[in-house]
Amino acid sequence: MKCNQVLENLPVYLNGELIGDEWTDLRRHLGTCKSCREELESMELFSRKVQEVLNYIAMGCNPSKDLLSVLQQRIASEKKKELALVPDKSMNTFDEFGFKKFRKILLPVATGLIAVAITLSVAFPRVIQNKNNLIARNIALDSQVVQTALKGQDIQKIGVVGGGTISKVVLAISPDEVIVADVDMELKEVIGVHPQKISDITESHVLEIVEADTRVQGLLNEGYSLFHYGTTLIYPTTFQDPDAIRFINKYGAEPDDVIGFLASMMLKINQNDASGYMVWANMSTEKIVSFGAFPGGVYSVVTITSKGETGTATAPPVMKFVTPDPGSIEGEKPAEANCSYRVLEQNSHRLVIGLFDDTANRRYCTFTWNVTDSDIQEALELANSDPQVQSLISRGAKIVSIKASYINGQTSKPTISSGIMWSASVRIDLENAAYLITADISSRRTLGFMRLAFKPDNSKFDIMIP
Amino acid sequence: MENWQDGNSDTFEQLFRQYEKIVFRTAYLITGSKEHAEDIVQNVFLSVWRSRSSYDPAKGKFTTWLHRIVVNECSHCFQNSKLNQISLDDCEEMATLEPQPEEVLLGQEERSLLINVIGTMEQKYRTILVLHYFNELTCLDIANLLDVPVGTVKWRLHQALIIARSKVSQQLSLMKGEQS
Repeated sequence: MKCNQVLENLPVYLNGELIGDEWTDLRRHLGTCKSCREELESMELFSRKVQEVLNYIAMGCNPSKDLLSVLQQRIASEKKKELALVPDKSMNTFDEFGFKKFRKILLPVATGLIAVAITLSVAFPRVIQNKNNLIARNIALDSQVVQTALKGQDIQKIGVVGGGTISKVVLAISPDEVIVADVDMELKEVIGVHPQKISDITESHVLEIVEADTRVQGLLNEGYSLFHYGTTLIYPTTFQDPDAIRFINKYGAEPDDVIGFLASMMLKINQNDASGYMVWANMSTEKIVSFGAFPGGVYSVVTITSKGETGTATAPPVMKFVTPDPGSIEGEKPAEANCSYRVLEQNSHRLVIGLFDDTANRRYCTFTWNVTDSDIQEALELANSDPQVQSLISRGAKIVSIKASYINGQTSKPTISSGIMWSASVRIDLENAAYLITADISSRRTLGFMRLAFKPDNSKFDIMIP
Repeated sequence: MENWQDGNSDTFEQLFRQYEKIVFRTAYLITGSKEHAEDIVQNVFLSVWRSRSSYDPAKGKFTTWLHRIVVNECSHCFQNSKLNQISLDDCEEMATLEPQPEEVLLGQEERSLLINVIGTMEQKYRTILVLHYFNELTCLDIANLLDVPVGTVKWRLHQALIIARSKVSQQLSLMKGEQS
């Protein structure tokens, strides 16, 4: 392989895409050509800078308006067009059978049916698969008590949780207000209506619902304790909050079950341990909608590219969950406030972030994460148990440092969890490269095992491992 | 994600929310215009909606299909208006964001230069850089998506890096010369 071929292949080589003979030839050439080796280093550094700057631009760039509502209007118009095509098709079919003479009679009928179809699709946007839920919903909608409670307000979303004698029909009228109708399925009538606001939900009420679950009771008997996962998480799923839906889907809840206000609690034996169970309660229907386990080691398959050698490995998270300390609350955040998190302090043993409202120029609260020596020790043990790390160590690599760090949730990769993520990174140096394992503490997943492009600069890290 | 293909509005909304940002950001990085990027997001998802029955998961990943539509929409946009330079002013929230501490390789000066250089690159180079380094698509994926040979993608990627590096280096030298 000649120098110009090598140079052209450097970007794909760096990305681990070069394979087979091409990779062997390029490696052989690099072994003998100093200028190409220098170009490789330069290109590696520069391509990482390009990546960094693209992510930097992208992270700060969001649509300025609600694109979904405009899109929905355009789709609605498309749907109408699709429906408008139906009578023409019908006419053609009729014509084939000589029904042309009935056109004048059939056309108004077909148009009428389409109008009914459009009305129904607007009134019932969600496809109800469960027949009993559909019955419960219609009973609630026809009920005078419910209509009175609605006070003329439009219903934004409807969810039904059935399965027993009493079905709960949740009518969402705003992001923070729902009306819950109890429908007796034997009497076929509404027996109770409860308006509910998001502010009505208290921690004790959440506890009451969660503790009534037999699975939770079993775990409590095993020595688990209920622990709030950070602050209480309540999602306005009435409006299909994408984060909530994604989270709930992950745990197998039915879409109808999550209409209402959700609160989460975590069951843990050791609060400093990543393992535990997450329980989600629908506080509007007072039912547990999902129950999921967080094993102590959430294992993720990560792709590893190191010096052109590509493979996959199972990598454990390198650091256990660090308990958040709510810190000082500096005022209640209004629901409409547009807030962002900023790092206030970051060093080897301490991470402090604040929740800021830039428009109002104020800070609502501060979160402090303290990293203990035992956390660091455990992170090291986990890193050492990773097969890829072991492979690197067998080639002379050494774990040189570890630190907790902050990753902004606005990541470019939709597959990686959104929100604030906490990471612990273990750095391993080998020759002129450094390797980093990063775990997202919030989602308890390993985000990546990557080779750093720059030469070791130990001064960048806070904790040196002897 | 299955039901969005059946025309279910809720799952389609979910799909939109999941990919809206990545589509917007990709379109912004390629076109350099927030306004165009917003139009592109709508056109892309309208295309997705219209073509929902023709998308076959067995033939390829959804994201690859989506990226193909994004790139096509960006190309249409270029046919109708000139290439825009990426502007820092557009990114209102940028000042509040902290880059990942482990990742920071660029100083403020070099970062601004690089934004300027990438922002003024030819469309074909900028598109390749965005798809490869931002969307993290392989050269093979990009080749399939743009319907060009993989060798062309490799060459363009290499050229894009060489051009960008050379321009940044030139401008840094000029700035140092002015300072001394």
